[in-house]
Amino acid sequence: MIDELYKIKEHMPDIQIKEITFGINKLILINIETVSSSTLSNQYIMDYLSKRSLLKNKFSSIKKDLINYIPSINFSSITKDELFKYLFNGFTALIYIDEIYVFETKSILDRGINVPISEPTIKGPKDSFNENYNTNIGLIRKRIKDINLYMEEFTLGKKTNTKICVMYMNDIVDKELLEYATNKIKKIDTDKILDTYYIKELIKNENKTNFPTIKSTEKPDTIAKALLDGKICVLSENSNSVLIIPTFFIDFFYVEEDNYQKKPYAVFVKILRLFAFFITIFLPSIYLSLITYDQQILPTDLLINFSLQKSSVPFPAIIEAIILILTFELLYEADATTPTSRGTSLSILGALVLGDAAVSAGIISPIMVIVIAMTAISSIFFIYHEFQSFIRISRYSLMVLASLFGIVGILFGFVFIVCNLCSIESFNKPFLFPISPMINKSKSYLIKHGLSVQNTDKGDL
Amino acid sequence: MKKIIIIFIFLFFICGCNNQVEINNIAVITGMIIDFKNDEYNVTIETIVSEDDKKIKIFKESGSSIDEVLAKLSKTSNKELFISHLKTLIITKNIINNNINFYDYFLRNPKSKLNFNIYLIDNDIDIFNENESLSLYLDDLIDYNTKTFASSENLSFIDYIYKLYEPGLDILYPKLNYNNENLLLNNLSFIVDDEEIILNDIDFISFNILKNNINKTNFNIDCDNGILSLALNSSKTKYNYHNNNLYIDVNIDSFINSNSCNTNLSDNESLNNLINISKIQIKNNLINLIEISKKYNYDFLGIGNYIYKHNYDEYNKFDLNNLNIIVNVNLFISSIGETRK
Repeated sequence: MIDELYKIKEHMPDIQIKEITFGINKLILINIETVSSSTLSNQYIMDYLSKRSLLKNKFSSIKKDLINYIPSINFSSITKDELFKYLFNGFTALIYIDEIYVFETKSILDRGINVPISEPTIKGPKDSFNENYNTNIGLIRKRIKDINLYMEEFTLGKKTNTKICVMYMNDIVDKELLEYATNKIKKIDTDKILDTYYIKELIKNENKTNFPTIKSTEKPDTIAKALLDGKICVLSENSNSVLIIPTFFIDFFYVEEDNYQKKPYAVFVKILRLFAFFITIFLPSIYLSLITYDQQILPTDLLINFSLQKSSVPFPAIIEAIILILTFELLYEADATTPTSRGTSLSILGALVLGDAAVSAGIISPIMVIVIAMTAISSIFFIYHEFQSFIRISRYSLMVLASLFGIVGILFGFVFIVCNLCSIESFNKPFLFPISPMINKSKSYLIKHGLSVQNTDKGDL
Repeated sequence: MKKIIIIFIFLFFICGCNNQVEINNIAVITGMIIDFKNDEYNVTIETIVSEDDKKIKIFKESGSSIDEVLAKLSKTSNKELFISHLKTLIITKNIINNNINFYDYFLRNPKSKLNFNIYLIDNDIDIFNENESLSLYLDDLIDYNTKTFASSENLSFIDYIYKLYEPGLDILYPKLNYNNENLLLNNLSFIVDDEEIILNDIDFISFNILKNNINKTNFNIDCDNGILSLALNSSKTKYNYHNNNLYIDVNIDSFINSNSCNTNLSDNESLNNLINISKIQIKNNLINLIEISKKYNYDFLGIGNYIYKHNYDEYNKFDLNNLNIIVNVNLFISSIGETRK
């Protein structure tokens, strides 16, 4: 076995092997220095062994001493096959004759608890998940101090061997949903799970839609609320985002911060968010249809204004819209990958290019800048990346339809989107819940308390 | 997915993009004058075109139908003539006298919005000019006068069609006068046997009271050596028809706007006396208007229409001239006002 380990060390230089001789027997200490802490290994075992050696206590059994006196709570005896699984997880292994003992000596490889970057908040808790599995569970555990918070752990990924945790409130969760979701996750057969997004991609294939049916978040308070609403959360090692199963359409309009606002303001913001959703999807297409097909809808003064502004632009309206919206997309993507220090210069450049120079050069009309700016600003309301992708795809499709068929095309697109949303199921639950089917709660209650799949005081689906 | 593709293809063939026109490639028709002479329509259109700047272009053409005229006009314009934003349609007396069907074109054209206003003018004269859009000006002018002073009333195309086809209802036209290059919005008028009758200001106020159409107006009452000006708060007129008798009950709530009569308004007896004088004068005004309608047998008040709707059996024997009309006016002065010292 020792020979095998030395052979492995040839292509795994971070493995550390230390042999200590005790009488006729050898004690072998093994760990992987990149994931385990040498200081802890020294503290737990080397320190003890050197003291034992000084005392020259020859009468006591080494095996018995190791089990009883090594100051580590996470200490167990394992088989040979499990050795590397523990070593990769930061454990130190002790081989004495044929026995293998492991004890936890993980080194801290995470960045600590920071403020959420993708979901910034003004009010409410500002801690977020990081890449440490235990820290993430701890952040949830400290919010829900209840023995009914159940966790089911298993390993996924043939090569990555990533630890996955399915978390739920046992007394609240819908058992059928739990079984369905757990089975689906367990059936994943892949080489790599590097983040929860990998799981999301592999389990969301139940619908033919661009709409995201699983929401992920990095905020522990959002997860705590989801759990208490009867939802299931999926955590993964090395991932700072946690999946919420199932996710409904209306969940994307619900932000945790709403709970920390006064009710009228929270309601106002929710209505505003819904309005922004319609603007960001429909505004460019409606504008295109109004200026190319359905000019009679516009008031006369506005028509003349639009016409004046458009008169200096040589391109058809759809080309003009595509030029501007692509410029915005370029800036948006560039901004996402630009370091913060360079972001300002990018913003200035963008504002100049979009707002002024393009209009002065007669490439686009000022009204088109306003339309696209309103569209872009409205889309920023929705912080979830997948939701933004859906918005983009819908927007472009509707723009093409509007440029071909005018208002009729937009109506066709609208009906298609609504039909699509109605046919989606998120883990066997209707995606448009509680709009369709309606649940027996008043609208004011839903607006105030948010929506949940199942709770102790809320009806079954 | 196949179904979606099929629907998409069908949509493409059904709708197509053949009627697509960019907003800057249209000439917006805002005004139109229609005259009929020598069996031909003479049409003048005012269009707004956006080139480097907002430009007003006037086109004039003749033809045997409005459609033909517009087809001819489109040959002189480099932009598509767009009729949806027509605001003002001016028709000449010839159209009314010869009972010419000018409206059929607008009813059949799907792009026509039917909400433009119709005006009457004596002759086909060049009132449009390329400096200012007269149509838009008229549109604002009549809107302001109708809403604010009840000094005129607009006649939208859809109202015109309604009045044309509705039994017992004749049409009053807003009249345009053109004197010394100045355009004036005159009172409402109607044409009977080539004779044009224009209602005066008092008639028009009475008309609005009888039609329950009044918003805000003043009426002057002659009293001892002066004038009492009453501002109207509200007015409600009720009709009741029975045995060839039409009872008209008018309830007016008003306040005193100005007073130059030799009357002490704080004295109840004097005030009642003033109210009685006012009642009689308002009643006389209303009766005068009804008499005009009777005289020309032109039912612009819609009395026949009222009987048609409420007493249909008696509509067949309805004759405006033989109808007994009894008018009762109740005037209430809610405030005598206060003079600031």
